Amino acid sequence: MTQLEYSPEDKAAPLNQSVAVEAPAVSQPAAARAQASQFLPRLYRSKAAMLCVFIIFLVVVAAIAAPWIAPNDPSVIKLIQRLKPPLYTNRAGITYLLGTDALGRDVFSRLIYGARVSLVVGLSAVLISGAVGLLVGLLSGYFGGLVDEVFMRICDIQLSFPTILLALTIMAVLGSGLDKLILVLGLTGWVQYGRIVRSQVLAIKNDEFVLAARATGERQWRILFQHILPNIWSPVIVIASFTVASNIVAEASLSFLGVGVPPSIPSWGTILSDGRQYIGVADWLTIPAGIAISLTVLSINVLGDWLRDYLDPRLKNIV
Amino acid sequence: MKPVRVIQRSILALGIALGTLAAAPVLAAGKPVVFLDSAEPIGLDPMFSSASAGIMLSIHEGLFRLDNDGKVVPAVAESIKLINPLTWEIKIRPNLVFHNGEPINADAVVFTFTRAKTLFAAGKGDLNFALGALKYDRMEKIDNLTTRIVMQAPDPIITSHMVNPELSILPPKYYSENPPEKVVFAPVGAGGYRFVSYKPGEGMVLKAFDKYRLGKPPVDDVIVKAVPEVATRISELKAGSADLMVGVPPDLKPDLEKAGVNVIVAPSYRRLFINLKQGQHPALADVRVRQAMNYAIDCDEIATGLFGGMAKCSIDLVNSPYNNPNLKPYGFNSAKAKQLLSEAGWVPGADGVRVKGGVRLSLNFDTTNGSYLMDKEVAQVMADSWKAVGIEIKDLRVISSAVSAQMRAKQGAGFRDLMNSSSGPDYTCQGDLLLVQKDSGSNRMSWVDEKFEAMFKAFSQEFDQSKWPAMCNAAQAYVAEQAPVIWMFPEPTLYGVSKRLTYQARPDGRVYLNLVLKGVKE
Repeated sequence: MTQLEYSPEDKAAPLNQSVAVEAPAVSQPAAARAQASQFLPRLYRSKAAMLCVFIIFLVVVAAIAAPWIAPNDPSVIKLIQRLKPPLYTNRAGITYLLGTDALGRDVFSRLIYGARVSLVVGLSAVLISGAVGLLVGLLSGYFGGLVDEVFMRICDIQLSFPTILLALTIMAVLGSGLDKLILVLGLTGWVQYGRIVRSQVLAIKNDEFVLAARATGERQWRILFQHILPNIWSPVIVIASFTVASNIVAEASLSFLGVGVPPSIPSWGTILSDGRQYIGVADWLTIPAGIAISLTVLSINVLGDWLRDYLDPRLKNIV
Repeated sequence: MKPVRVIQRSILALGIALGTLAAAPVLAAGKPVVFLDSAEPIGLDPMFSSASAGIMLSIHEGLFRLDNDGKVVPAVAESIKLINPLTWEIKIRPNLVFHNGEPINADAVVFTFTRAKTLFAAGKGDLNFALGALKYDRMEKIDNLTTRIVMQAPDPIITSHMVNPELSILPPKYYSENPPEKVVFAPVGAGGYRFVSYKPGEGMVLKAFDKYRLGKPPVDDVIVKAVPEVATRISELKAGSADLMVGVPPDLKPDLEKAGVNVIVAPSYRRLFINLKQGQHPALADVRVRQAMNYAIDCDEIATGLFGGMAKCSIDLVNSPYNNPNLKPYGFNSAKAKQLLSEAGWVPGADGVRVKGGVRLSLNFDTTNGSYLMDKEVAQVMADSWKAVGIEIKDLRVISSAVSAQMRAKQGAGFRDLMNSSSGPDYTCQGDLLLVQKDSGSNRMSWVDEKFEAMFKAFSQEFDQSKWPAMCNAAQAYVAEQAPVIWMFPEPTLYGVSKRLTYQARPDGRVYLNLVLKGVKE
């Protein structure tokens, strides 16, 4: 078998070219178990993916263990030691690895705590957008007709606004705040989930296992959530991985523009924003946060790419 | 000399002379001066947009104005005299015209003051500040160049109220024939610059008015661009794409100077405060809480750390020379702050935030970012200081300069418990005290105190100037103790000025283009 040939279980998969990732059309627990058992060996074989996993692991550890690993309180203001360069040691003998900001706060500690905001926003917003998009996609694809028309027109309307502009407008009205930011990013990001899930449902809703379930008189919600949903997870997982990255960038962008998280909460976006005016005299305020955002987003994107390839049955043998 | 050579030389000389003449307009029509403002103008009708005062008084002209030394001087008016305690007679300068050619006369003055009164009565326009200060009954025409203003109460400092840009004199034909929404961004005034065009995001184009009463301003073309972020303003100035900005952070002075930009440091009479809004959180009604909030702030540390030692903490209610020399700033005293809060019944809760009767001492703070020097930073430092004594800043919200300006223009409507603010100089004690007078547009914290009102009324109607210092000092001492605001200091003003521009800084920090732009090298 050449690398581009499908394995026997993959041949049963519907070929829907309009979606990014194909899913197996029938419920096959054994095949899924076999695929899962290949997950770690294949991940180990990809050096780039492993490096990304390592970086994301560091960010997650920083976010979870921030109170224990941050050398200083990120909110404590000490004007006497403002704008000190990296490795500055104050009179009390405390060394500031990445220097201090315009209010004398520890840049390194703020960077560590900033990981929390990025991950919380990135993941929470994905949960909201994923849940909304999944529900809309399932209902729209399965029931079709007027339900489909209404949901898809709402999708069209939302897609006609640039996401960041829409988020900026809503945040300007609601005001800044972590909860509002998560809600806004969650509610502006559901469309792509909705569309992909809908196309997946359309592809499998007339397959034998669904027809069989209908013939046995199963309730609609059971068919949707017990038979169809487990078969369309793969593309949702892949989209979620990319959306986490885009949400991190959106949080940084909105905070940078002053409508994200309040200035008192350390986030990578606010660190960048606060440091921007001092870039000519204190570049240590912006460079670490910029690197943190770039590396995290790049890692999530590369890992998302790998995950897409891994879950795509047509590329199974070349990942 | 041979005739041919004479002719040749004559032609050469003529050529050089013509060349020089031809070059002159090229120099005059050189690159416009670009001034970076902190916010887009809300409008350019002076009665609808008190926020853009600096630009407003570049386009418009009132009966009186403040010169570069802060003295009230006649502008459109030639003179003023008291007829009786309620009536003043104003002579208007002859032969003045508006940008559209309409004559400036008594009709224009009467039209302006009647329009202001009518709009204010109808609750329209941004006239709270101007008409809260100048309480007149009517303006009457006596002859073509003479009017009389009849006041509601005696007011010895009427001219200092007339400098407010809201009372700029307007051409009656233009403003009566066009509705406010049409003229709001198509102003016609009598100031040193006439309006050419405005596009949000691109800027406002102004051209020197050759029939201005003081003569044509030395700089022909000016573009006013709104750049809310200080960092972007700095970048533009360093890149050479702008000539002037206000509010250079002290930290960045050396950086700008290294990039070839002049930084002018000028003393300022613009006083900074944090307004404490009444009627929202019950704690702020208690004078002990307000005093505690003042004691909890290390103002000297802010002045030294954030303002590079350029600011000096004070009870900055009234400007020099009328400020009470015996008043000392609160001074940082954390223990005193805690004691006052406890006396007021606010005791520490489980999480350290003080509570009273189930209500947490938890406040919301609205701050601008770049409207005032280091404003966002000051807000964060204060929030941190209050936290140390058990006062929580629940939500520190950054609002845009334009939103803040609208809130301030509407007597603080819309802001929550705390908001940064400033007060420009009135150059009179009575004018500066308007900050806390109940009817004044300057009173953005809704602070009303009957004892102060009685003191102010007596003072503001007193024509005997020998009594003023004692009355002024007594009023200041009382307000200082009541702490309706967090006292800070007069704001040091740092202007970033390109090498090609000659600039004269004003102590009030305002950029009246026709008075501060002194020339440009091409």
